[in-house]
Amino acid sequence: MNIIVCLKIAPDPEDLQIGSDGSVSTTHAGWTIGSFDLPALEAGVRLTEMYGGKVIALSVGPSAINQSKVRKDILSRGAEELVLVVDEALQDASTAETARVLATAIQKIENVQLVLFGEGSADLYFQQTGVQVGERLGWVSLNAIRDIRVIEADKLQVQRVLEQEIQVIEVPLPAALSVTSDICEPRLASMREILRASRKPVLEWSLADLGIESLPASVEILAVQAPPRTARRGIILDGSVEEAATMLVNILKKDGVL
Amino acid sequence: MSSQAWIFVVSEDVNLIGELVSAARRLNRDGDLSIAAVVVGDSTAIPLTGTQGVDRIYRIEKPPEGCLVEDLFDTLWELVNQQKPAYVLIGATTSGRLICGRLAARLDVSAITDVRSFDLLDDGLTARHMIFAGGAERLERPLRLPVLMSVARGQFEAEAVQNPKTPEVIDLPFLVPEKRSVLRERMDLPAVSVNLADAKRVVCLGRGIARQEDLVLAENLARELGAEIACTRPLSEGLGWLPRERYIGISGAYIKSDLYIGLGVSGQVQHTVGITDVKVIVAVNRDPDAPIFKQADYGIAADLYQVLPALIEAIRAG
Repeated sequence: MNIIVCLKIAPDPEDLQIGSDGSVSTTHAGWTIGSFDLPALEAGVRLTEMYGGKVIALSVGPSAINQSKVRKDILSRGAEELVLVVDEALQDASTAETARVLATAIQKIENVQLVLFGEGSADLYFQQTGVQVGERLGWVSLNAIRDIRVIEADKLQVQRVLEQEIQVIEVPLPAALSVTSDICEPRLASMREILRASRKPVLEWSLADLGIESLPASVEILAVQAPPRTARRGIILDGSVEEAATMLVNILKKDGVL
Repeated sequence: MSSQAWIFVVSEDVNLIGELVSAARRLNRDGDLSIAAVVVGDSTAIPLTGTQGVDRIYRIEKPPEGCLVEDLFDTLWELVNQQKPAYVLIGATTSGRLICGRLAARLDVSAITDVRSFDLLDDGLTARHMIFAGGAERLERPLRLPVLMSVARGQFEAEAVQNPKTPEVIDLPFLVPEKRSVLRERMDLPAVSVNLADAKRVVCLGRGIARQEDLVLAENLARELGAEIACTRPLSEGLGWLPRERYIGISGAYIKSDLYIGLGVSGQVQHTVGITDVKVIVAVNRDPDAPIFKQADYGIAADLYQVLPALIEAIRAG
């Protein structure tokens, strides 16, 4: 069974620069695989290790996603191939555009029965794209999956976590599943895998390669602003640990929170 | 009335309907739209509380054995096609997110998820939601109809309406989809051990805690303070030292306690988004450059293994 794992490559939220006017800049942010997507990649790789087939990683975005460090990172974690759909039109793509491009790319890749997604992207975390892609493909589409087993050639048994219950569900293939971030612990790449990564195939497609001539925006982004934050005092308590602890207890009492 | 005169509010969780109706009423500022609630379940048993102020209730019958509640999608899709609502508001539960995404795909729109607020301007609606793990808020204008939004619990307050009209109730069959999954089993999740959102004081552990057995040290402090224990995501999801409901951050709990003491918490934005509403933030970290200190009211830049006993001592002495 070949599995596509969709990964969002985006500016690392840790590297955001917030201006004094609340402006948000990603200019100096490093682009990485979303931390919620790594468990999906690991889950896919484990399934192919148990049941055969291979994992093809798929990501769409502007040219900033196409970096050798990121490519190597993905391919050293067990994906056998990487497909990148690169177009500047994807810079601020919302979920409808992203899902359309992903679904079109998935249809172009042969012999795929399962597509996995993370819980949400690290930058937007709308938790929508996986579900939308499944629906656009006309496949069974489910979210919040925390365990996947293959029980027949064209059937999975999965566990799904809702707010108050766990469901055991039989899923006919093909299917698109969004997994929880605790489905499994992502592996650290071994030196052998890191070396092997540079020999694995990377396909680069444009929107034109997918037959997508235009990608009209479904939403207009008017502003991106840091939310107003409570002003914090930022007082560092000096002295010995004992002095600092005593000082802290006294202050907290004075503040009325102890 | 034009064909797009409806606002639909949809949730498989009837307890959310009241809040969604509240949001819908704000969208209906000019009063020229009608509001319909779409609910699912045994039609005689559905409590219709919270539907005050709606013009119509669509009751989809309860899912047949083996169907997921989200399979109501086929019935909903038929209804949306027929009524062509201008707005669809969906409760942002796990099931709601699935229904929302499927609907967005069919309609070729982007759902605006977890809407925090919206404004009705002369040239249309703008809505605000969180991006970058809470590091930023994005203001967006949907460019296509219908406007599809998901609304998380607690964003809008359900309100009673004076002289509510009696809504028209329309029962709809549950259309079983041709291609679907089969629900084999359901197990109740163990009762959640804590609701951090309600905690007065919280002691939160980060990666600075070296060993699982050291949790007991923090528990001692929590006991002295009458605080709940919480943690950052790696301690819960990576290491499994604490249950998921004890982790604070983007996909975890958001707290609004009087006091938060972070022990060995570095202060990554995915975590700190969950503590912005805390009254007093205290940070203990041996790295004086840890980002948490910039967001704290009081900081002690020292080894938490030394600070913990000193703090317990100071509380007892005080």
